[in-house]
Formats: sequence, C-alpha cells, structure tokens
Amino acid sequence: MSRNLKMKFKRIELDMSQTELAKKADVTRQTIGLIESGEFNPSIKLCRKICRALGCTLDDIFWEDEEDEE
Amino acid sequence: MKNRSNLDEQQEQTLLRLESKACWLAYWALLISMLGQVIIYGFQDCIKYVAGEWIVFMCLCLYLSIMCLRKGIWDRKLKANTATNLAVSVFAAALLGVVSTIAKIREYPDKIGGCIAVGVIFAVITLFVTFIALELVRIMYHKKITEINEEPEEEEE
Repeated sequence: MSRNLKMKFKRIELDMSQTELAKKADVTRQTIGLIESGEFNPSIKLCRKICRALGCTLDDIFWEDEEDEE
Repeated sequence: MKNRSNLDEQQEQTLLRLESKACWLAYWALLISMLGQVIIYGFQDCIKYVAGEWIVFMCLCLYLSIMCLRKGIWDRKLKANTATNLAVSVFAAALLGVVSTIAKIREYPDKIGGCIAVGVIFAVITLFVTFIALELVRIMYHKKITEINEEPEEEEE
C-alpha cells in the first residue's frame, strides 16, 4: 500500500500534529500514523471523520489515480 | 445504553487478526495434542484423557462450520468442489491411518501386520466418512450461495 502523503501534507499545512488529528477524528495517534504510512486502510466512515477534521473532501486526500493505487 | 468500544477501527481490526490467529493456534494445538495422546495412551485408554479436549475441539469445529455455511463462506484458498474434498479426505485418512497404526504398534508391538491392517481400516473409514460429510456440506454451501445470489436487490428510495 502506498503512503498517504496528501493526508500528511494537509495535516502539516494546518499545523496539526498526529495527536491533534487523532483526537479530532476520535482515533489513536497510532492509527493516524498507520494511515499516513499506508499500513492501514481506513473505512469510508473513518475517512469522512478525518476529512471533517482536516476541513477537506474525500477526493482531496484519499483519491488516487489508477497508476498510484498499487 | 450502547456499549462503546475502547478501540478504534484499526485497533479493532488488529485485535480481530490476533484473535483469528489465536483461534487457529488453539485448533491445531488441540488436534496435535489429541493425536499425540492417542499415540501415547492407545485407543482404549485415550478416551478418558482426551474427552475434554475433544468436546472443545468439536464445539470449535461445529461453530466455525455452521457460521461459515450460514454466511456462504467456504475457504480462503480451497475451492468448493469434489476433487478438493477428495484430496482433503485422503489427507485426513492418511493422517488418521498413520496415527492409528502407530498407536496400535505401541499396544501390540509383536503384531505389526495386524496393526497395519487396523490402520488401513481406520484410514478407509475416515476417507469415506470425511468425503461424504464434506460433500454434504458442499451441497449445502452451493444451495446457500444460490439463495444469497437470488435475494432481491434493495429498492432505492
């Protein structure tokens, strides 16, 4: 699974730590770390929570072009 | 009041994976332990030693089989067909044949021929019983799959 750099950059752009994002999305910091490193595939429900916490849409951070999906 | 989990979805999935591994560890450990005791104590005497393990093992097997059947799940890798069932039955028969032969040789070391014959008879019985049981379950599985696929699609509101 590829790393979710879009999510990481968006979080950094908002000057938010993994802990802060985790708190807002009601998950552990470890889960945010695993999503960003591409080691955990979140459900749509959790993706929506993260998007709300980051103030963006699913497309902004979770959409990948076909060639990047591997 | 709804019982809220302390875990988030990543932790929940990790815990499910760990529990799944623990379940299969228990399954194989129980099987190996029972077969080992059959070899050590012989067929007659082992019953009193393995009764508890056998009950737990059968509960585990029945629960897994019934629930998988109800959900229309067969196996991750093995296909639900007669050839696979035959191969699995041959494996089970060979395993039980070898274990029963060894157990009998330990009981009657001077009657090797008879012990091998007992092992072969056990293997043949196991082959037939396992194959028939697997085929019956396969037929029920295909019926369930047909039933699931024929369920009406939910209407859009």
